[in-house]
Amino acid sequence: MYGFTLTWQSVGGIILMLLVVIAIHELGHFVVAKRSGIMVQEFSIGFGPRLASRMRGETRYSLRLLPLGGYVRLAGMSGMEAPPDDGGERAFSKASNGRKAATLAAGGIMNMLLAGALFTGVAVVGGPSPQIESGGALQGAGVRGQWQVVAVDGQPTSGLTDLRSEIQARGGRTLRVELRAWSGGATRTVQVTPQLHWVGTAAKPAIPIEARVVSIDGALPPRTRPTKMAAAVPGTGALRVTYRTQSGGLRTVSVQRSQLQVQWLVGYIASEGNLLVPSLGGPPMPIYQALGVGFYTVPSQIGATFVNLWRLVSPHHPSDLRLSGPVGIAEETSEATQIGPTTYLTLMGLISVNLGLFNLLPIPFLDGGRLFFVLLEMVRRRRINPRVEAAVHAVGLALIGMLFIYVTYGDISQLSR
Amino acid sequence: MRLAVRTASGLALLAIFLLALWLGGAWLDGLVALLVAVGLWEFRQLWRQAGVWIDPWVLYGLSAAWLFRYAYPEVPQASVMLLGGVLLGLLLALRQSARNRPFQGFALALAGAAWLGYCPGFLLLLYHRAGGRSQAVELLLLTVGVAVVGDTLAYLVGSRLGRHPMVPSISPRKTWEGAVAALLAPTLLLGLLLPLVLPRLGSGDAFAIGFAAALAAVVGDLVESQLKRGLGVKDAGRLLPGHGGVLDRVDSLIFVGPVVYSLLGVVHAL
Repeated sequence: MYGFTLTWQSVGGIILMLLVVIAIHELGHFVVAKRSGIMVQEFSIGFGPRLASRMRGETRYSLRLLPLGGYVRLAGMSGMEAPPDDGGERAFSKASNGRKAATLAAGGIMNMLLAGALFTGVAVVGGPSPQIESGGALQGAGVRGQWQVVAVDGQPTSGLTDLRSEIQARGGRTLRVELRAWSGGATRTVQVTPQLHWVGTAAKPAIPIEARVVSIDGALPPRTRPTKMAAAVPGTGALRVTYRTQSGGLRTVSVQRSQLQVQWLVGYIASEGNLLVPSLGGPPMPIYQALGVGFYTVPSQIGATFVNLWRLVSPHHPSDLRLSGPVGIAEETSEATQIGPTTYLTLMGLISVNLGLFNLLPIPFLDGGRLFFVLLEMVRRRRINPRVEAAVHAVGLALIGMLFIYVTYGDISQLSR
Repeated sequence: MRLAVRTASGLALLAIFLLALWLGGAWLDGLVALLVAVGLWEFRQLWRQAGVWIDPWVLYGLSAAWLFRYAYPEVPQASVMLLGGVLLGLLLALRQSARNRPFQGFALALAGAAWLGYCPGFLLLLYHRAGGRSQAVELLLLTVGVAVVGDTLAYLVGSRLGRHPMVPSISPRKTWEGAVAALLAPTLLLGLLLPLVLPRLGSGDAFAIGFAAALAAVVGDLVESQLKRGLGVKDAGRLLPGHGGVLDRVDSLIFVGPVVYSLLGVVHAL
């Protein structure tokens, strides 16, 4: 069975993610409720048996055993936890519709703000830098440190494949490579002559992958496309390929013409960027730019969620999209903790956006469902029968329960595949 | 009460559109053709009440040709069709007595076909020229979404918060507050979602197209209002409860298709 590895690191990563994302959500409800004069009876981190608690004013702050979230208990608000105490005039149910709406929306909005802040932080750090390989052509041309290739012979390049095919198309001729410093605006242009490297696996005896080919049939390799290389060497028999071994010596082997598999390389490994949100994986950004990009990522991810939801139900979109439930999220979190802190923080932002979004959608029982009823009252200027509203929320809870079981089942069957 | 009727018939029309989109192909063509046909009929009735007779052959014929021009990729279709319409129209006008002012009816037939045949034809172009069924459906949803979101927000914001009338000479109930909402929301809608549907499209271009499309929806609404105001009627018909005629409901969509399709072509995203 294929599953995710539960290390201390990944379990800690999952718990921390839940704690932060849910605590921020509840903090939003808490702060706005307090400012609206609504009585907050309890602010709890975690569920289950109480580990520690302190009463300050009218509010009990507590830490509970299961660190899988938390909650805020408001007076006079029917919820799962406790019987609705009457908070007198300061009960949630007695508050004005505007204050109710603000209190309900605050949780989701805090999640969006948290996500924006996290994305900003990730953009400030930036993605991993590209690498200039030691012994490669770029290093040979005097390039040391962290540089990004931005253009070849005046042609802008993006990503690894662009650069590779550009170099092959020029058949190993000397290139004018424009570079930009990864951590700043400095640019420079260098003349680089690509080196020929072995990329095949067919030859016998085997030539190590990426070994530098120094000569073919005793002469310098012809400056031409790799696909035309074999034909460009005079004669018709097998080729004597001389390459540099790892210890630095030279070795010559005989290779069939059809098995000559080579590529022109300059010794550059492009950055893989940010795996989850590509726009955050470039060079480190100055803070003002990172703020813009980071907070723009929030609505753009909301849009992406809607498009994906549509594609999930659309019969015209052949896709392997799947709703991910708690187990799927835990699995992804576990993977993200293995990859690195920026991936982990990006994922935390994504989960925070989606948690906030789903909470604000008009789904019965969730914040958005309650908010919908409050807004409906504001538009109709008439009270809605509380028993009708309670019934709608009860049905909503049942549906959410079923959805929870459905997606968790999907997650687990995905895991065991 | 009026709001409830309006909401219900608007949702019903939207449901029919979604069903046609779901079934796709000929069903969608059929629905667009039906709406265009009813719109043309309303257009002709409006002028008939004002005492102007419009030649139906040119009006319906040229509209149909222009509406389905996506099906003729090789001909410089639109202009050949226009030529046919002009020749046919002038020929038919010769049959009329000069007292009926046949040139006026001919001109209005061309204008009506351009407005209600040529412009909606871009919606079908968008649908049939998109890269694949899934993309076609998503593009059409977004394009129609611009008009629906714009109309809805203009109505909600305008009726609750509207203070400053925008063009009292055309429509007394349109306000600047409503127009700002009708411009902002569709801009955000397309700006955020278009790049997800068309990966080659940049965010900046998407927001620009969104704004142009939103503007086109507002203009489309105003154009129809001005036509009615000029002819001294309130609604173009009574087919849709709470809305008036089909023209009153789909007016804002008419120019959105041309704008979205053309601008996507300009930035090579389609």
